[in-house]
Amino acid sequence: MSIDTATAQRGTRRNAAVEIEDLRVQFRAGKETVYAVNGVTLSVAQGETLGIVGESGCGKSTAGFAMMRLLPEKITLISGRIIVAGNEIQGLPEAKLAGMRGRDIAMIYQDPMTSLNPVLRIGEQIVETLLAHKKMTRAAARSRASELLELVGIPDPEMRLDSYPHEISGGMRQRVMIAMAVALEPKVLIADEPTTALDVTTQAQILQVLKTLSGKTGTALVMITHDLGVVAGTTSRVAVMYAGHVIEHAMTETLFAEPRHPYTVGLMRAVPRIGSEDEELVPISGSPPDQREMPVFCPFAPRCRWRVASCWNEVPPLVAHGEHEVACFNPVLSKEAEVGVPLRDGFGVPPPSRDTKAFRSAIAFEPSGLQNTIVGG
Amino acid sequence: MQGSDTVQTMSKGVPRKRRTPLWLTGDLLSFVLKRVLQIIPSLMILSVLMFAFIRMVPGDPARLILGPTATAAQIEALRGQLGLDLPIWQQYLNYLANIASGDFGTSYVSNTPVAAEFFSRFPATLELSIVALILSVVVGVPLGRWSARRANTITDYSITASSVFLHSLPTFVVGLLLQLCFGVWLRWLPVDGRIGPRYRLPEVTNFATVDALLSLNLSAFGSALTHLLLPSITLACVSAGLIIRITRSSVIASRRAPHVRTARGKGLSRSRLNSRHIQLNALPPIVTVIALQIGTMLSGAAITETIFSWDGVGSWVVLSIASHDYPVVQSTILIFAVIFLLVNLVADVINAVLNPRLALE
Ligand SMILES: Nc1ncnc2c1ncn2[C@@H]1O[C@H](COP(=O)(O)OP(=O)(O)OP(=O)(O)O)[C@@H](O)[C@H]1O
Ligand code: SF4
Ligand SMILES: [Mg+2]
Repeated sequence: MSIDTATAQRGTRRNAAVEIEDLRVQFRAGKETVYAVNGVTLSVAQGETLGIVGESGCGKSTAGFAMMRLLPEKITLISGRIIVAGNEIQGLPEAKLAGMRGRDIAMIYQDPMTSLNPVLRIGEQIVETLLAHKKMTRAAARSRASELLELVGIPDPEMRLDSYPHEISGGMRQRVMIAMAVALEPKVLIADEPTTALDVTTQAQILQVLKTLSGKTGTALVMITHDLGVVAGTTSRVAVMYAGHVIEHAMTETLFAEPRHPYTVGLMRAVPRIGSEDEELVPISGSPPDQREMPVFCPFAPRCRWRVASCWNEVPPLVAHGEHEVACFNPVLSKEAEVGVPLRDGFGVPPPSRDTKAFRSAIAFEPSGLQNTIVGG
Repeated sequence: MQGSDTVQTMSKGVPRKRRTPLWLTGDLLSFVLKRVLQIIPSLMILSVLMFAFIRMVPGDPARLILGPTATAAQIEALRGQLGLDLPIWQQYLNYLANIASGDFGTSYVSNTPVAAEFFSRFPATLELSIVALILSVVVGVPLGRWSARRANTITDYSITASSVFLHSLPTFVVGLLLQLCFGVWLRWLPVDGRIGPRYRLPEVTNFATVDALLSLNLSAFGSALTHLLLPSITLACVSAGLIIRITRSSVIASRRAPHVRTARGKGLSRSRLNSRHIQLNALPPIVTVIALQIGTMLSGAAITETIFSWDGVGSWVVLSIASHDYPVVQSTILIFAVIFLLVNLVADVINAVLNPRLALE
């Protein structure tokens, strides 16, 4: 692996293929603002796989699109730095960007049903990707396209090149999209829920294809998913997102062994774990916050069993404990993580005052829980 | 990869093998046949309605033909001769039977076969409609695209406003205004007829412009063109307005589709992105609306031809309605309907080839 000189000169610690620094994305729709991503800093080295996990709406896809600079420009406000293959992409002219997209950075989109062009044959859609970046004949591009379809496990690839997207199943379409994304062996590959439409066997196969690619060509892989199983099997590092914030960030093994953020613990304890199916599940009550409000306190506070008074005062910063980063004022102890509930007393502090935003959202998300804490506290 | 067949969660059945282009497969043929079969009932309903409606217009053709001095007996005799004394359903059946044997009736007024006169007049209408259609497409599609590219800017608002204006202005108002302005006031362009009175053209195609070119008479060609200008602009207005609006909205919708994001994400060039992923996908509604304009043209021709003394089918129908010339009115309208439906069929086929998904739905 060669060290990317441009990044090295900026003094970053690793040979990052993609790096985002304090990324903030807001969507403006009329008078409303959606705070989709609120200060995310991440980097992925060549050949490394980073997982981004979190509930629906927490800003995973938005962060992915930002790295491709594919967010709808007119309605989005973006700040922070995004460096892809040594280029700061925010200021880049569209033509330069077109040269990078597909070749330096590619994305597997979340929705296989709408992400392919319905009026062009599948072969054509892969071939044009190749021809946009490589000097090669059409015939060569076509046979390469056929190889790619074979790689992602599409039977009869030669014939499938002439199909239209509506003629094949959702799972097949997802694989076509994967073939298209890996066509040019990009330096960075963002896989947004790449296996949702697939059955377990195919899922494993596809993940293997992505892993091989990453190992062989040094592609930095960003694996976006809400499935902790996918994360465990494929990633080396994980960032857990909640309401547009990265709330925990660690090596995958560390995260699974010692989750420290109450939300991460909640995620793990809310689904049965292999080998410990008889454990009692502890669901996370309530729902994610309304992202139309500017965050002023811990976004997880209304649903948190570990919250303390300071949780209502400000957004907890992401603090490094060695390699393990957690954004929490009262991180979970390892024996608490085991059972999924606090073992110490005095948590679940109610919001400071009855007429703050904090109070209203706490009421909205946890009416019964709040009742208890008011009585108890 | 054997497990793959279990993956087809979204669509039923095994995907079809397709190497041959769509238009060579049975799919398209059965699609066309289905559409042709759908046309027949529409034509039946239309012919019944039309047959009844023209007979509801007050006035008796026999009385009109014979004039005010005719006696009741003479009128009765003529009615019998024309078959007008039969019950209406029987008249209708006779009419259908005649059409089935290729007889479209004989004009009460000129006493010539309707079919013959129709085909001698039709080129004039066709010439006018084709030029008007070309005008409305050539103006409408680029303006619509421009408007879409500048969505929500002053340019877009002005184009949209003009399109609404064009579309809502009645044809006869446009025609009369153009006549007044360019014919009467500025005296730049002729306001009636198909060609200057001093030209005599061989009747080869009956398209004035084509015949002029065939006889290598450039000044006649110029005259034919200038005569075409005002009526074709008049006829094009309504359609151009609609084409602008449909093109704009179709391009905007197509540009927002998620697959365009995919295409941008592949790093395609701007021009390829636009032509293959935006404009191509935007075409089907535009093709449909253009095809529908044939109907607008044929009906607009009646008014436009009358205003500009254009010797086509349109002005003939208007005259024939006034003179209760039933055979002319019912046959020309029926032929117009067939043309209209066939053109729409062609548009459907084009769309099926452009977007194969449509053909299968
Ligand atoms: N174009 C847009 N306009 C307005 N709001 C948007 C837009 N795209 C996304 N959002 C909002 O931004 C937030 C983050 O959305 P995003 O799609 O990134 O979530 P996600 O984590 O990918 O969720 P999922 O798991 O459902 O894909 C959501 O609240 C969403 O409603
Ligand atoms: S303990 Fe406080 S800071 Fe930590 S997640 Fe709960 S509410 Fe947020
Ligand atoms: Mg998403």
